Amino acid sequence: MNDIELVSAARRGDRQAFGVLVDRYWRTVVALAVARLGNTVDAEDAAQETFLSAYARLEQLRHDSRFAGWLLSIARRKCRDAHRMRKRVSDLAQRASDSLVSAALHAPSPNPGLTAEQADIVRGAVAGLSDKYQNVVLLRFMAGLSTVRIAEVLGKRPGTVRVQLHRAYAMLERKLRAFAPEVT
Amino acid sequence: MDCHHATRLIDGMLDGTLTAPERDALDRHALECLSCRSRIDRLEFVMSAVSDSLGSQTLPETATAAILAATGKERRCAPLRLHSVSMHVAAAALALIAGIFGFVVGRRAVPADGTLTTPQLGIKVSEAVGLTLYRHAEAATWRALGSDSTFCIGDELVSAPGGRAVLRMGDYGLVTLSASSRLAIRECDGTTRIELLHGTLAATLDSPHPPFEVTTPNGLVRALGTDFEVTVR
Repeated sequence: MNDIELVSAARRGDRQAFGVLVDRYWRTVVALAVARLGNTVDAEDAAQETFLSAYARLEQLRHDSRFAGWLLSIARRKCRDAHRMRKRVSDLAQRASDSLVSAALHAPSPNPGLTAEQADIVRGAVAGLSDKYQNVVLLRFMAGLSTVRIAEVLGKRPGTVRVQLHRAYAMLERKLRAFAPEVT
Repeated sequence: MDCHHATRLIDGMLDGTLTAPERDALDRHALECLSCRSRIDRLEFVMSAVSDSLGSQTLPETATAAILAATGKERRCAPLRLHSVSMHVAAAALALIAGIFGFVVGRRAVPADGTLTTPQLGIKVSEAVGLTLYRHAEAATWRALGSDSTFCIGDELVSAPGGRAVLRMGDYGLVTLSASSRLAIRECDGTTRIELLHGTLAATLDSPHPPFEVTTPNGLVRALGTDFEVTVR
């Protein structure tokens, strides 16, 4: 089923249809949150909040075909909320404890070819992209959507998405050049 | 194929619009052209680096189950947190009747409220830390593991990151399902058999103990001693 059919079914109370949407975009939303929050623990909590918020507010989605783009905008708000929550923590001991927990749970890259430091560089590179470039990169690399499909879910022209993706890729390639395979 | 054509196909790789025949043709060209081969390698590296560095530790299906559980009518409280503070549950009091003791579990109905109508395996929940979900074999709904959880052949358990479940297998051992792991309870005549689908399982068995096996996608582990751990990546 495509996103339009799933959103429509979810609105009618079909939670399993919403579950398919969660399964389809979980990795993408987590990736955005990891890039913005810096650790997987907070990112997965933010992702969970994102999907719960989306479920509660499905009636507010105007174009069912653009569910993914709408979901990513909710995810950004949830990440901003998470940042604000962190800033409110004034207890130094609690902060120290949180950072220890975060460091302990901060997963090294599962890619055996990347060190933890390199994985941090990758996350920083994605986090440094503007929202429009970040969207297309995450939907392409995490959700595996083609530029044609990305254009549908973001409500843009395929040519625009293609240009944005190629520019974003060029930026990422430059930032990862230090440890990427050589181009001859 | 010349490099100009190959470059357009590499762009198609990035766009996700490359067909299988086009990919084959590109690969054939790359066997003879180091420059294009390097560009392909660089593209694949960047894509995998992004995917791996921003990856989730939680399987999508685990996250889906947790989120659906939180959206369900039976949950009126605050949303479940995948990384919640530890929950310690009291052990249930069910006797393990395994195959070697002559107990046979038949097919059973799973009414809408999720209760089981046929005798269940006597497996106690000895400890549950964080979030672990379980699902009866013929049900579509996942439930949060609790002190009163009961199990039958075919049931599955999934632990979230930070979650851990310890099951007492009758009176002869403990099975610990580590974080981000998944197992199923399988039927086997005369032997208790657990299928580890993903993650890590540790078993601590008394000596002597009845036949105990753990199957994985790659093989079978038969308990000969008293302590062992199995991991499926």
